[in-house]
Amino acid sequence: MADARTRAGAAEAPAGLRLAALQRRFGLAGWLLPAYGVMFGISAYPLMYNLVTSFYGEAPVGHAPPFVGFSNYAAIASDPAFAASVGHTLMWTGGVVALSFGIGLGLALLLNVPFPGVNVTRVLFLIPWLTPSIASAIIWRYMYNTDYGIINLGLQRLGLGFLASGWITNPSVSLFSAMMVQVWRTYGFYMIMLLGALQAVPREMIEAAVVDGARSWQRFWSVVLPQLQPVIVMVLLLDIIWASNNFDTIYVVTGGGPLLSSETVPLYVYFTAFQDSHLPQAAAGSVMLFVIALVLIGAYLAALLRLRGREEAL
Amino acid sequence: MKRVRGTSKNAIPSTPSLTRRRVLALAAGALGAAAVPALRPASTSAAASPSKTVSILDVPINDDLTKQADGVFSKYTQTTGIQVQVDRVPYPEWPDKVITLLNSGAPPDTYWADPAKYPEYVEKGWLEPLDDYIAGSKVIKKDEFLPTAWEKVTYKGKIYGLPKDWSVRGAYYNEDLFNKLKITKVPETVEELKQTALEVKSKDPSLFGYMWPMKTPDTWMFEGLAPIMLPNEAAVVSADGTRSTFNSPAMAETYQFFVDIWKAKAAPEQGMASTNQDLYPLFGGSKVAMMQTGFFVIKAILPKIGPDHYNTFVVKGRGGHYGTPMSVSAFSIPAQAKNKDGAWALLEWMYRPENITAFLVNPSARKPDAPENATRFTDPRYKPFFLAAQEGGKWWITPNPGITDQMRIVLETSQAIVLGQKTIPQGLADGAAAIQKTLKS
Amino acid sequence: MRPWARVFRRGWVYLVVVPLLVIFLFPYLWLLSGAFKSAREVFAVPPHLIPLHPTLANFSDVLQRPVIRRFFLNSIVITAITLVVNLMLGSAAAFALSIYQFRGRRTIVLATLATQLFPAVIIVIPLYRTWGALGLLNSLQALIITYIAYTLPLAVWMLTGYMRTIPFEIVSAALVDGASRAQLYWRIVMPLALPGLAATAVYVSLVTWNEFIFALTLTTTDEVRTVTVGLYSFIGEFVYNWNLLLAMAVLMALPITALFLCLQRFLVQGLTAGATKG
Repeated sequence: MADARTRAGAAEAPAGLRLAALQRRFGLAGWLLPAYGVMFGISAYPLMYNLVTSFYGEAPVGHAPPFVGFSNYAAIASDPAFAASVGHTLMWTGGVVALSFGIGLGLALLLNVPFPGVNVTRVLFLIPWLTPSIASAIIWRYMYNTDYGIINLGLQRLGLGFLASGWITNPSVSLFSAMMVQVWRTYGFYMIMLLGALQAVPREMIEAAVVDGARSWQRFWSVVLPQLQPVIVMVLLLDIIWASNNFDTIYVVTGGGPLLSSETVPLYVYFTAFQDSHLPQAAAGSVMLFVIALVLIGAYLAALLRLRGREEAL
Repeated sequence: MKRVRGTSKNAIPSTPSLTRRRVLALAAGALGAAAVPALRPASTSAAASPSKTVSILDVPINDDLTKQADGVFSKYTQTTGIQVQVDRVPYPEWPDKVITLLNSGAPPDTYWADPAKYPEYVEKGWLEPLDDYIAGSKVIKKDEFLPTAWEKVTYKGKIYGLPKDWSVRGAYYNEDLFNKLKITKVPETVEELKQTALEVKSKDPSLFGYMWPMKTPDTWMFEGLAPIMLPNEAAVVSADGTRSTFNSPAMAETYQFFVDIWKAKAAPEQGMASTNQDLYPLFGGSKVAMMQTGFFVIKAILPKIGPDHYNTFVVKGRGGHYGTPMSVSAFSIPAQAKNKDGAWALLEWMYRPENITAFLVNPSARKPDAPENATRFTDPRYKPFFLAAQEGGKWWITPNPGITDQMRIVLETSQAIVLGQKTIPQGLADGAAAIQKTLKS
Repeated sequence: MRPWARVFRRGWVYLVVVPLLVIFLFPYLWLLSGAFKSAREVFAVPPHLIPLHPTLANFSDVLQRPVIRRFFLNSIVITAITLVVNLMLGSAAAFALSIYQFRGRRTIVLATLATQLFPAVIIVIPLYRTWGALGLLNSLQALIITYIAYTLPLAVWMLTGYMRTIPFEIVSAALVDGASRAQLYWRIVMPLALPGLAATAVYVSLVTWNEFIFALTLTTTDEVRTVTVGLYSFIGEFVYNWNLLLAMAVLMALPITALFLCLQRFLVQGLTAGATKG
């Protein structure tokens, strides 16, 4: 039962400690059960339903659906649109997470400084995050309008007309345009989370570093960043999951883009379910989305392990 | 510099004290939290016995009509004692919610339906045939309704919806712009429509001549392609629903219309990512000279956004005929509804001439001389629409179970052609092959 | 320090913050401007940032509708309850996961995320069936419990992350002093995790407030619907009330902004007590 992370003091496990371990485990269950009871209670049926449905075909009401094994999965895997959507999902996830994180971290550092009006400023920077997705999408579509949108008009006024583009009408650019909207909506999350973590860095540590003669860059790198690390790990992981699952933003801004150029896997699954009404196939698609997200998380954790060593990963 | 270790690196031997108390406290807290909502007065879901309530899913049209509809429902309750549970779904979410509910095995007793989906839904066994109800009804008389309306709600010989209203597409033009640009002739054919659009662009490059929405299969098919395709007598699928007729000279001519206008930049590029609603402001702001859409905009939208002077027309195709997509909306009863008889009784109430106006913005599916239609469409600008409808408003695709796949293929093909990624012959050939595959199954 | 230098040291922040604020809020300015425009002006092409004829009519129109007021009430109740339950259950679970080591801990941590790997749009059909079978469709209970289940994984995950930043010395010092688990939780961990709690509260309330799919699908009547459904109700087939929709979006942001301003204080709380001795 002992692993590398075991407690100080329990070298072996004599009977007394084992009993304590048992009591400990059940004692802790009381802390965990309410939360996990609710979580798994509600989500168990939907997840199982999706999994089971994905192995059956369609049948009219009143008839048992035929068991088709993996053929739904095969149908999706052989659909070039699906492969394209996977590629779009990867690009989308990488871009959105990297940019939101960068902007969020920068703003968190900036707004960690206690200047007069900092509280209001923080809330102001959060406003994009607070806006409902439909409202943001309407505004951004307005701005992205190829012929009359403020972005193109502004670029032309500045003499940068060559940069003007069909932001959501040009298949080569549509995914990028949707990404910008999502970054605008998401950086607030990083900002607030990292700000919370920055605020929790014990002042003594920073003061000790100043006394030691560290400059601000060194202070950041060696004192603050390690303190932030668990929170950074946490928010990056969460956002990778959310970004790869994102549906709202892309759907309203581009609808999957001209010629499926901005269709990610969640949109693919949605269209399969609600436009084409092929629900078992959509269920298979959602399981595949699950697998893709797992792969992304796995890659992330593996990279983290290599960088930081086993103990710090989770 | 020494790095301070966080808690994860070291675990704590826990002491087993207070655990039972803690568990109880948490359990009590959770139960309490769950109980609080239960203490609040419950909502009116399924409180009464099943036959005393009937549920309907409807889409609100505007505030006035919603108020009127509520009045209709409450009068029904007063008269019969049956509660009406109305689910008003915002229009953008209407298709999704219908699919969710029909899939769930617990659908509403009746809902506002899209007859284009009937083949698909009937094959899935989701809809109840209404022939018996209609035959035995004293309020709904078959011959009071337009024959084309019945046609549109019939699939494989059975009726699956009660037609509510109908709509077709027609063209609008901005009179002030025409005068300013000295365009004297209102187009009468598809070819003239194209030439006029190009003329507008050449006379004033800051304007657009014509526009169409190309964002989703529905909006493209109905508002963009069909108004040009049908006068040209082109078709996606044959009349018997077995062959793809997508690759035809008439269809190629139709696509040439769009390609020529797009190449000349006589249509706003924004249309590629827009629905018609996104585009109306361009017409209202006098940036686009012509557009095609339904006739509801005359009352519902253009008064709000302009332009000040506009008029309507319809165009003939190469064969000298009008052609326009006709859509009929209807109320259907799901096969798994719990209170089908109650649903029918409610529909009979709603369809009384004095009540049906609360649900209409377009002409009702009854004949033009029906009381609810007689006084409502007197503006002369409605005339071309009635003219086109008379010549036969058509299905934009012959109903068959693969219709949504086919519309998606049509959209992708169209985008590829207009964006120049495929030539017309190539695009039509690929599209026809893909459509043929959906017909085989 | 000379007055010049002092002003500059204080002022540099503003030089950076204000332009950034303008850039980031620029799209929102358009949203605001649309909320103050009349129906005719909001559709004007090309659009003007400053309304030519600003009006408050949109706000009064929206607020005068009884259903909208009902939606706000429902949303506030739902969000408040979800938030409180979330923080309670979530912090308890996070406490167990972050401070203690036990077999299967990491599995549980990873499993927490498993429920997040599906977009809501896919879950909605079976969820509708579940609540239908329980007879709780069109009820606030169903929404609240769904939202709690939906946001708990995030809360647990976030709070675990925050609690793990608490220096071990503090915890072990408390244990050496003979603290019980509950005392550890209430006296040491929770106060130190306050910024994390605030941040999590911000997130949970935001997600619940703006959530749409479940709110629409699991409800049928206006009695139990939320503000997001109200927002979508301004988009019709035949009318597209942008000005009203934008006004509604602005109104929707107000309660949640007020909540954020309140939680601000907790976010800024640094560690002032409980340091290690020596």
